[in-house]
Formats: sequence, structure tokens, C-alpha cells
Amino acid sequence: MYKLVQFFRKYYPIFLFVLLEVLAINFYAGSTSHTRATLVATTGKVTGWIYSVASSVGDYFSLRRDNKVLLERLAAAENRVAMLQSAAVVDTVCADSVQSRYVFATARVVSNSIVHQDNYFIIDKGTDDGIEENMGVLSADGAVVGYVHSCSEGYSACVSVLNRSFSVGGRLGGSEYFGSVYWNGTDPREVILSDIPRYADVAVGDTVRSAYSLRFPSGCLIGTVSSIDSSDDGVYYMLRIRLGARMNALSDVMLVRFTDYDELNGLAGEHFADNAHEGKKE
Amino acid sequence: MRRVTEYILIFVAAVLLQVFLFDNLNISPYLYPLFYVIAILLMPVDMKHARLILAGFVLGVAVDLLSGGAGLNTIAATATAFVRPAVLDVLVGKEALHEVGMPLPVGVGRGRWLRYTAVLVLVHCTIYFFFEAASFRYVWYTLLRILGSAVSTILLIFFTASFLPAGKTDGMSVR
Repeated sequence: MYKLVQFFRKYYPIFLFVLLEVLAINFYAGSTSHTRATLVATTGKVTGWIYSVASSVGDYFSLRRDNKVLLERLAAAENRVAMLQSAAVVDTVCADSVQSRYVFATARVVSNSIVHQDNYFIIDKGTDDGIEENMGVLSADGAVVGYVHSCSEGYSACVSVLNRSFSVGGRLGGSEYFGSVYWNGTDPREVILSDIPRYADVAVGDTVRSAYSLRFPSGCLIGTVSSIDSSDDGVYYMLRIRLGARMNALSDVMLVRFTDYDELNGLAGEHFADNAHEGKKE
Repeated sequence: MRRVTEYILIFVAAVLLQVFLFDNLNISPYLYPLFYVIAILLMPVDMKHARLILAGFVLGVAVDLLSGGAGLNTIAATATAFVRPAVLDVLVGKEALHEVGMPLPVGVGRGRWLRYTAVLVLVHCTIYFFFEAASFRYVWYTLLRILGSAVSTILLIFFTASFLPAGKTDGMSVR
């Protein structure tokens, strides 16, 4: 008995170490993207205001660029309104059916990261401002950057494109071929577009836009093809896509809510590319 | 008492700097400084092993909670704290250690201290990034991240530690 006690006295740091490591590894292994986003959202309440002070200072440095982007967007929107107005005169019958299924909002990113393998960012709006889970997030110039995962009253935690559990349907510009877009955790400037058949016409520089997505309107820019490879089994292309959004310089973002999200997700959510990587951990 | 306050200050400063400064630098995934390891590195030389492990654990939990790390920092920090006494013994040596409360470059010698820091930071980064990747699929990428992040962490810690007030023999700030 005495020897046993002595044994423990001598080696108890090792037992303590093993115990604590098992605890930590167990927690980490059991965590899904959901746990982590919830954690980010919870601590976001505490750290959020500090970040918003810091980022309001930083914002002044990107004002000029943001302003230019916004003006360009405004001009494009004005053009579109003008076009639709002239069309509506001719075709008043359709006026009811063109009511938009998408609702837009804006927010400011207060904290962002690109250095992890599963990145999140926090925006300064939450349920009080009408932000809901599963809203798509677009950069100021309209490129896909992520989606809202969980909200508190004043802040929301969003899953970044640069997160291994993010995925969205992508269509190759100029063709009908589409596949699934995801990040493999390596280069923060590039994502992967898989499942494009080998007989498709692909060239470096082709644009890739969102398609068949629950969260994003069809046709949002994802990026441009930067290199062409084949998948491990050789049946499909593995395309590297240079992201359209500057992920390391996010400041103002647009949020978009698909008004039928819940209905469609409940009916056939698992068939959409958006949910392909959900909760999965390599 | 003074000594305890000093270490708590270092601990808090390390966590806050990590969460609010280094986590937000976003330079590149290859340069992600895990600066808070400095708190483990600077723990008193004569600290009990079990207490050191507990301190490492608490440090990791604090960083995890504030940055949403889901346990990664805890895994790495606990392991780093566990191996510290062994690394300190082997790389710095017992004779250089007596009368040194806080292991600082001026106390133990720059060369020795740098080796000690380098090994512990490498251990920490290796565990952190391999657990984060959770696969060997992009192993070269992971190795590159470990190397880049470890080097930036070592430089930052060395720079910071060089400016910390040190008491080598008079023990003014360590006792």
C-alpha cells in the first residue's frame, strides 16, 4: 500500500497530464463546426465591442476603396432598375411574379481570420437587426464570403469561405456544368471546384458563380479558375478557383436572406451542395 | 506575493495580446504566432511540475474560450507545460538555473535561452497545427505552417523577453 502511494506521489504529474490531455482532446474531437461557431458567437458578445472600436479605426484606411466599389455597385443597380422599368411597361402581367425572393442587408465585419483551417468572422449585426441564421454573406462587390451561422442580439458569427465545413454549389461561366465549391484548408486565396466532368470545356480565367444554392442567389461571383487538375480517380476535374472576395481585407459585407430557405431546406436540404460538408470533420 | 502578482500579470498580458493582437494580424496561415506560449516559458524555474501542467491547461482554456479554439490551444499548451522541465534541464542545465527565478535571456544566457525557447515553441506549434489539420493529407503544407509560425513566434518571444526587466542575481523582480 505504501509503495502504491509513493508511486502515485512520484508520478502524479504524469497522471494529471494524461487526464487533462484526454479531457482537452475529447472536447476537441467532439466539437463540430456548430460547437465552434457557437463558441465564437458567445465570446463574440464579450469581445465584439472591443473589436468594433478597433475596426472603426481601421475602417478609415479602406474608405477610398470601399467607396469606389459601392459606387460601381450603385451604378450597376441603377442600370438594372432602368432596364426593369422599361420592361415592366411592356409586360405588366409579370409584375406580381417578379417580387424578389431575396432580402438584402448590410453589416460590418468586426473580427475576421484567415490563419486557421476553420475560419469564422463576426459581424456587428444580430437578431435585433433582423439577421437570421443561414443568411448568405457577400463582399461589398458581390462575391461569396460565407454565411451566418449563429446570432446574438448585436452580433453574428459567420462561417467563412475559408472553413473546411463551408460548401456552395458553383457553376462554370459560359456552360451548364456545376459542381461543389469548398476549401481544402491550404491556400487562403483559393478554393476548390470539384465534380466538373472531364469532357467539359474549361480554361484558366473562366468565372465560377453560385448555382443551386440555398443561401446565395444564383449568379453570385465565387472566383475565377486559376489552375486545372484532375481528381484522384481521374473522372472529374479538380479546379482551383481564385476567390473573388479579398478575404484578408473584409470590411463591409452584404447579407442576403432567401425567404424560402426554411421551406426548401426542410424539403430537400440534403440535396443541396451547401450542406455537403456540414459538420463533417476530416 | 510580489512574485505571484508578476506572473499573473504576464499570464493575463500573454492571453490578451494573443487574442486581441496576434489572432487578428491575419498575415498568412504560414505566419500565425502563438505568442501566449511565453507565459509557459517564463514560469518560475522551481515551479512544481503538476502546478506547471495545470497552469498550461488554464492558459490554453483561457485562449480557447476567448478565441473560439475548441480545445486546440489547451491540447498544445498542456503538452508544452508537461515537457518544459525536461527541456529546461537538458538545454539550460542545472548549474545555470539556480538563483534564476524566471528563465530570461539575461539570466541563463542568450544562446541557451534561444535553444530552450525554440524547442518548446516547436513542440507547441507541431502539436497545435497537426491537431488542427487532423489529417496527413496536406502534410507538407502543415509542416510549412509549423515552421513559419514557430519562427515568427520565437522571434516575437525573444524580442519581448529581451525587454522584460530581469533580476539575475539580486533577485529584485523575481523574488
